[in-house]
Amino acid sequence: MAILEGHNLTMRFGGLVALKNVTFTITSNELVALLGPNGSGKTTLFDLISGHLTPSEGTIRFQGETITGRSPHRIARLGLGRTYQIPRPFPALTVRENVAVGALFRGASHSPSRIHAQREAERFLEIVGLPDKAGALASTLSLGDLKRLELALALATRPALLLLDELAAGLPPRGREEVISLYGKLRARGLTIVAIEHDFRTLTQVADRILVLNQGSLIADGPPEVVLTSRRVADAYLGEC
Amino acid sequence: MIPTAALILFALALPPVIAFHPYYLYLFGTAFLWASVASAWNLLETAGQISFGHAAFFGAGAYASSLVALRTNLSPQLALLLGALVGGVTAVPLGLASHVLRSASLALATFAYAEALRVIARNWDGLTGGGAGLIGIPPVDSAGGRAEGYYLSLLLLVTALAVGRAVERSRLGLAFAAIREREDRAQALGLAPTPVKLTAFVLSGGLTGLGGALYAHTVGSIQPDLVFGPSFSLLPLIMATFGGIRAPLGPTLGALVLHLTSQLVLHPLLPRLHQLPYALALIAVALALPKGLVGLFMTRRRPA
Amino acid sequence: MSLATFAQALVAGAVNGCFYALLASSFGLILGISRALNLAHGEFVVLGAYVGYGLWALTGLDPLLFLPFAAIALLPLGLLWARMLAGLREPVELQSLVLTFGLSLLLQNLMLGFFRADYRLLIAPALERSVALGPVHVHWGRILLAGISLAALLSLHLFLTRTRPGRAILATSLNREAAALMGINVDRMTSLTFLMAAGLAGAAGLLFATVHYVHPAAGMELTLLAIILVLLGGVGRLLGLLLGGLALGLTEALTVALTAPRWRELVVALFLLGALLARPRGLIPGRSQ
Repeated sequence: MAILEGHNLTMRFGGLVALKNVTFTITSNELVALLGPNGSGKTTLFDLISGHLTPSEGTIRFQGETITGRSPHRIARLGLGRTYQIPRPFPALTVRENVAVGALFRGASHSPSRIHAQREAERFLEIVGLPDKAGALASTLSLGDLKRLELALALATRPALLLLDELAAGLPPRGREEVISLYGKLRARGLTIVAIEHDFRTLTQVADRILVLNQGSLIADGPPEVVLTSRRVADAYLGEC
Repeated sequence: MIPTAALILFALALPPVIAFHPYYLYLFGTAFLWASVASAWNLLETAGQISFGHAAFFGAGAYASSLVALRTNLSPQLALLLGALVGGVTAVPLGLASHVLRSASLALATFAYAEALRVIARNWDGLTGGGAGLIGIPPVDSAGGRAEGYYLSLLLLVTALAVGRAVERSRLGLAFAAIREREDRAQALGLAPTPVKLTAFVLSGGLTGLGGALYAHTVGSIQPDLVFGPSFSLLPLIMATFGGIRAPLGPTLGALVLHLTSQLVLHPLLPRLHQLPYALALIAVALALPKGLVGLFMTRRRPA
Repeated sequence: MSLATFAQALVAGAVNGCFYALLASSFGLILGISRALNLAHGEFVVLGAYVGYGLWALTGLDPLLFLPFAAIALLPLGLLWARMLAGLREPVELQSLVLTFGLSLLLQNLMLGFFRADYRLLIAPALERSVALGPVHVHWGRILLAGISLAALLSLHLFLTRTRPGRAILATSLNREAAALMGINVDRMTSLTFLMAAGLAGAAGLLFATVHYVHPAAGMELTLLAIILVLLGGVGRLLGLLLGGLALGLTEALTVALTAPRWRELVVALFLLGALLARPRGLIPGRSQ
């Protein structure tokens, strides 16, 4: 069952074309890796899906509804969660309060009190491994913990689809292993995941499918064995080294 | 916390009873009034909205209450409440404007809005009495004298602080903080920003309008260039930032220090420069004291 | 409204528009180079007006002779502002508004303290001479106002585009880091820009004194005018400022002709609200060039 579809997505910033005719389909419960060299448009694609940007051309459908051009909070309430490559928590709030924001406002059908939301937040903190930091200010966290907080924030809205932007980037090798096991945990909860990782070795063990962007165009879309042996993909990355 | 507050309130309630000189009752009464408006300004700031135009709400409340008191038979208490209502309503267009305007642009818009109201009040003679303003505004209770003004201002301050505290501990307060800290992330988490910002504007505007109404009934006369003017927009801003915007009592502290310094020290000595402490306070905050006086004295306390 | 009144309003509006553009250009210089919004801009101009008025009152000579003096008098203030605005936290646009809001009131109070609230009027007979352009009568002083404003704008344009320091200033305004990498001394360019802006404001102040009452509170409206034009016309685009100035000036003049002079300030306030809503991001860097 298709949960997310993009048709002919094009994004122009003045004269710069960041995305060109990108078309894809994501099925429920898939773990899809979104790869590509720096500047290929991966985060821009996420921005389009989450509603932070409106595409110059093309449409996006999520859970059967067309969401092109809708505001980010409406899309979040439909069940889409997202993390950011550079963590962006609420700096002056505690970790618990941060996640409580997500738990608090995810829709009209669910409006807990602040205390209730903070308790819910603690459960998400358990999942990502941050329960002991609940009372700390977000501005005092290390990068690894910030990444965990990012994930907890995205989970707090109980999304059906998660867009994860470089969860493992910047972490030491042990951190990356943790991330891989996190991906597994999330899938087990029935979530659909589209994940960007710069180091593709992280994801290729666990991904069902891989999409590869290069200079704004989708150059590969298929299972890992096929994509990773593709000449086109190797060339795209070779240009990077 | 509550017993301390009760004790402080009791101490503050004493002066009229023990026959303080009426001048001091007036002095502290107006200090509390400005502390309320500064706290109301701060409430809006906790939602991330910086206002340069609070005089719009102050003046609207002052005029609404005064006109009603002068021209109808409505009781003065109701007139005050009307001032609060009108203050809140006046804030609605700005709350809606916050949908597209942020930061500096919003601040300038609030300034322009207050200016527009000032010019209208100045020139719509039929409604507002024109540039000369209104005089002979009755006090809330004619028998009360200075003591009554003092108590009402104290009551207003307690109300403003109570509203601030209630919001801070609620869902709404968390929404305010999220929008202040990172509006786009809050949006990405399902929070619709504009209704929240609109609520912040209306709450702040209502409290400020009430302050303006009380001002009008305490002072007895108002002029458009004053109550809608940039000084009255700047005062709460300076008081709140100088006292400390992240502490609930920060604006009150700032208001008391600045108002009392200005009235007790500068007025007698250098009357032409009585606004100097405010200007200096603002420069100090902008260049050296981001957390205000409170930041100087305490480390931040966190609510649970 | 008769044709003569209409024509009169057009000319008045056009003259004012040129002056407004001059006002806005110096405001825009500071905004462009440092992202700071100087709400005390109007007070700079009024100070220049006081200098001009004072020298005229003292000597009785043609006030326009004092243009250089009015400009130079403001230079120290420009340098002071450059120092103060350099120490601001992010976001600079908002923090500068807060600081200069207070500074503007400080300057107003100082002027009130020293010069008192009296409205002062500079009356130079040479400038009051009326010139007839068809059905319209214009004071020679106003023609000079427009002419000098346009000349100053043109000079500024040529300086920014044809001279080395001018181009360095433009480059720094567009991209500070890139300019530094190109070897431009960005701090010196910033100081130079503030000096120029202050000087221009001072000179504009003297021109202001020739056509308007001078009093301490006169500055706020001038600041608002500058902001409007920068929003509508763009920070570095002098032609845009001029067109915006003409639009605003004409709207004001026609409104006054149709209603009454007292509503002019409302036109300015509403124009500012409109300009902000039309260009919500107009004061943020990167958008204006």
